[in-house]
Amino acid sequence: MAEYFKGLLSFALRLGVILIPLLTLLELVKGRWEGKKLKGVERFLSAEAAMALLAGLLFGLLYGAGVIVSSLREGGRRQEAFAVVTFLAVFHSVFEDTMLFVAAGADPLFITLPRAAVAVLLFLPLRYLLRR
Amino acid sequence: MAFVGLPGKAALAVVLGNLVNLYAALGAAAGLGLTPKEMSLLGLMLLTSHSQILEGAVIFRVRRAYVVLAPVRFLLGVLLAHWLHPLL
Repeated sequence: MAEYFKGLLSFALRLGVILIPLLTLLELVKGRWEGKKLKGVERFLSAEAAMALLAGLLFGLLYGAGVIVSSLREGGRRQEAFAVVTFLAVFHSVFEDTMLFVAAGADPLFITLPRAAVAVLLFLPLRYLLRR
Repeated sequence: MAFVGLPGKAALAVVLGNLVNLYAALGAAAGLGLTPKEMSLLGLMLLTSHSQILEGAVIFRVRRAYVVLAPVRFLLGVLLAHWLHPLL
């Protein structure tokens, strides 16, 4: 029993050491991003959709929700919004979620690459083939 | 759970991860004594499909119809773990 609690405590400490600086950093970056648009990507995505994609990738669907919801509802086309949301549904919050499971002993590449591949494979046809 | 290469006890972590969040799932998984391989599979599955209620609400706010993505995510998580578990 003492062994079990010791294990739990060391796991909690490891999570804290990794996540507290990471989440602080992400929060600081996010504060500067509210209401901004991403320029220079119009060939691939509208500035609003690109911003939503980037915010979702870095912060996750929950912490990035403000940026994602406002930019996808206001600007951009429907087609694009669905492609972006589909991508994010499968693959988001690259740093936080990955670090959580890496701290628990998972292989970082194994838990990241397959999801990234699936997300891209879903995104591309939704973005380019179903275009109206 | 053998379908995804995990022991039956990991089901608790999968359910908590999907209905609550990843922290709840990790809290459950930490006490199960999973091997690193099983942790990787659980991670792959849960990172694809987690916090369905909260994240579903965010997706719902973008556009109502997009909630169809919730079952899609869960299915993808199960399929990815099923396809890739022989590799580990």
